[in-house]
Amino acid sequence: MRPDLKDQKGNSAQTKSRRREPHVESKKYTTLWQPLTKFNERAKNAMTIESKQRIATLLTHDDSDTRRMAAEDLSETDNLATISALTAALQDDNKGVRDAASRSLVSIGGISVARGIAHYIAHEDIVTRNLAAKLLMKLGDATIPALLPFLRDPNHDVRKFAVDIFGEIRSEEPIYYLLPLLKDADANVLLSTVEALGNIGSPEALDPLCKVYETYPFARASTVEALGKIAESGSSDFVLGKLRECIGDSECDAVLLYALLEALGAVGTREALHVLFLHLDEVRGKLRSVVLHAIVQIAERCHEEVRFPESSRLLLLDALRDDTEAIRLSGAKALAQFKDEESTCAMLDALGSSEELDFLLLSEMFGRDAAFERAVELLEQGGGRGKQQLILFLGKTVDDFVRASEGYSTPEVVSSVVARAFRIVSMEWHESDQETRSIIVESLFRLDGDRAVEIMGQIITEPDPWLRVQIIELLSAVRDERALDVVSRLLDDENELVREAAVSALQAKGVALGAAPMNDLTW
Amino acid sequence: MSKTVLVVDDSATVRKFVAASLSLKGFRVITAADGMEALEKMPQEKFDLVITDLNMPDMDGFEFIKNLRETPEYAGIPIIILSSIVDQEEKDRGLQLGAYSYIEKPFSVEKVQREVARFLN
Amino acid sequence: MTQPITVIAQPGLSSIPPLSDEMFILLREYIYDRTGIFFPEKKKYLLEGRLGKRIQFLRLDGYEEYLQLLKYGSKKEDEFDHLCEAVTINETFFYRNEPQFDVLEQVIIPELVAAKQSVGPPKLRIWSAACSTGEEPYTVALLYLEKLRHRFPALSVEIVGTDINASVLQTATKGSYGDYSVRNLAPQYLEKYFITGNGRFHLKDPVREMVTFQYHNLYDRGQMRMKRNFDIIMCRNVLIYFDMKSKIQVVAELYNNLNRGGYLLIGYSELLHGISSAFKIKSFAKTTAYKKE
Repeated sequence: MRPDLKDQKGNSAQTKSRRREPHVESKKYTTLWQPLTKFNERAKNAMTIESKQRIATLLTHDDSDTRRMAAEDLSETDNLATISALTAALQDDNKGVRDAASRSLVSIGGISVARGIAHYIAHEDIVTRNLAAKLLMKLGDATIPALLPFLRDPNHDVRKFAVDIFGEIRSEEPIYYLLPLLKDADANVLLSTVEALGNIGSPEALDPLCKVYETYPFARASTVEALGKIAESGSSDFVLGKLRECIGDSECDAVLLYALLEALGAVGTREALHVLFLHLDEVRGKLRSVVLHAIVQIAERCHEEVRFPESSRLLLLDALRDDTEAIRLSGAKALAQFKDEESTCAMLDALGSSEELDFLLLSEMFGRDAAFERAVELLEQGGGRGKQQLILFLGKTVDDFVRASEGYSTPEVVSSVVARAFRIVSMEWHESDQETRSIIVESLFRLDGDRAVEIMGQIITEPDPWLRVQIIELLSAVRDERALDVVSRLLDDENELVREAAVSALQAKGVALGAAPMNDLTW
Repeated sequence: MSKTVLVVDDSATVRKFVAASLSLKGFRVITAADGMEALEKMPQEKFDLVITDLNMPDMDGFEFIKNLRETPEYAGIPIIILSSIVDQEEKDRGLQLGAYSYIEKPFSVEKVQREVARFLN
Repeated sequence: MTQPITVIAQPGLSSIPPLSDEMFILLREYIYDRTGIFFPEKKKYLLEGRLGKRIQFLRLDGYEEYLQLLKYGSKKEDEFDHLCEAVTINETFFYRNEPQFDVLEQVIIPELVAAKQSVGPPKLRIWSAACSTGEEPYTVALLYLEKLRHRFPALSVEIVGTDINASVLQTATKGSYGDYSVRNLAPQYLEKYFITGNGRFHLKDPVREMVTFQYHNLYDRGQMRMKRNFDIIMCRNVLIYFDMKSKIQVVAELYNNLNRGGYLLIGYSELLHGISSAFKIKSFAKTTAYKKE
């Protein structure tokens, strides 16, 4: 199926590659390569046209390693002959060679490369087609003029390929060539065009997309999704109208309903909020989280304050555990208005899945008095994914907790909770990585500075000098001055590296170290 | 424990709609944009069924299916092809390589749900 | 009897000014150009702390002066070594990511041996890239001594461990480890291959002699092109410190460093998707391996 690469003797590369190559060391490339160029970037750039041409002929060498390295070294050569040779190498039998030729062509870039590759999307071999498509996407705008003619190719697979590539490139340039394909005879080309227009995001596509919705039932969900991605409030009425129709229709496709709810989240206005709340109870199962998500998005966009009824609290707790991060975020934002213990626990439990969500949850937790003790309990039960965040939280909020507890808890109760916190955090040390350890150390000092000195004092007797150095690093980042006391114990460590680290750490903090004049050394 | 389906397609829209169709029926869905990403994700999860497109960058559907069938752990996993390719030869090739079933695009949600239920019940 | 403190510091030494955004960018560019390691914004504090200590020790004025030293100082290559020590992260232990060692033992090595046997006595060259304090290449040695040597009597193995950080390599050659490093080892290994003393575990000579340690910079193309003909390359848990571009470069070179039929193993959570399409993916239940066909 692939064109046969022939070497200088006219021998077929394909035949050669069918012979099983024994697992012997391939010395060939190194011996060929040395005379051409010493491997050195400057030398490579100073290569003459001649030597570049010589390298190009190596693209048809017997040995695949040689072909691959030749392809790699042509990554800056943009003359047509080289581009042509590299393009031919895209059909090499060997994956490594194809990989190198691909990278070099993308690195060279430009219209000539795009033109050389574009016709491969019509190739009979699926591997070649897909490779060409991938490269054309990476070439970006340079691909556009080369690929436009393929939008009118008689083969629907080719048209679809071209449309998909334009969708990935995301430039608005080809829009007027794409719009007519919304009437394409082939359903898959039509659907691809809808998707591509959504990716490109041009408002020019809004009206045509609405017409597609009315004309082609099979394309409804896709069209709505595209409207959502273009995200212009102009389509709000349309989407809301279709949502009302869909909810009223018992036969309505669940996926269409899902698409409408999602799109409404992106384009809806205040009016939509009213409809969504009305139907929050009517919509069943998983879709309820999607409704919630849409409500939160619209509320944020329109700067509306939204109050969720107590009856929806369980739904919000569910949303917090959803597989999709965006829905979890919305669940967290909505749940913020519920200050009960179950909600607090659920929010602490959701820590550790994403930075944005953690930030949101922790900010909310800082205001909640009950959160400290719940966090300790959660850690004692295992902590889950959010251990690091819980430990951080305990360190940062212990003072607030103590202050807030004055008046309604006895000092003994409060200090026992803090002691539990200290204990559980210190127990995390051994199984934790460097990043978590830095948080542990900081938190231990905030929870109980004196005990922290004691514990760290034990930990620094760790036999591995590398770990002792790491501990010094951690201790020097702690705000509490007593951490330096622990560091100074390592000034007379048996290991030179450790001693040096201790000295620099202390100097960095401006600690004066005692001078021992040489002649005073006595035992 | 709900069953987990892996959906492999380079179109984000297809991934989203197939995932929605299946999660509405109680399945857990993980997605990947092509065969290579799918194979690299497999050691981290346990899958009960795979739905795959054919035309994808970095590793097309045929290579992906072949790779799955060569791996002892996945040799018996149900595989459904979901593709716009209508050429009979290519369809046969997919089934020969080890796919259990073939759904043509544009797909109906019911068809996808039915086929998955067929193999996972 | 403890030694008195012998390092003398000037009292009241003022701290150096903090690392500015501009200097951070310049320093991170320098580090990236030389090593491929990329420091994102959120790791600025790390760079500040680690370099700060070195700058203090050298009694320089600040980060700017340090960069000058790195680029133009008379001892700049020595300082580069210290820089590498400061910026590389060294967490490792024996039998880290067990499923990969299982696959090595049960599938990869037998396959390579079978292929080589047809041509002569099988010899395998194995490279542990970014080996840090040596636990990874030593684990391969243990695997050979304990499991493979008897199954494949004719097999000989050459193991090379490399790193850009010269001082971890020194530690590696000593072969002496603490609790944390050996926690994943079955007791039989500790008994047979280590000598215990002072709470430390020292590898016996036959194990230490199986591994050669060398300095090597994965981002230096000249150095990379000199590494040839390996059957297995382990490059686990270092690619995460590179960005896309440096990852692509390093992995492309690693492919070239392999013999045909050879394997690359990367870290547990790492993927080559978007980085290289040159390898054939070999999937296993708990891990993925990459083969050069």
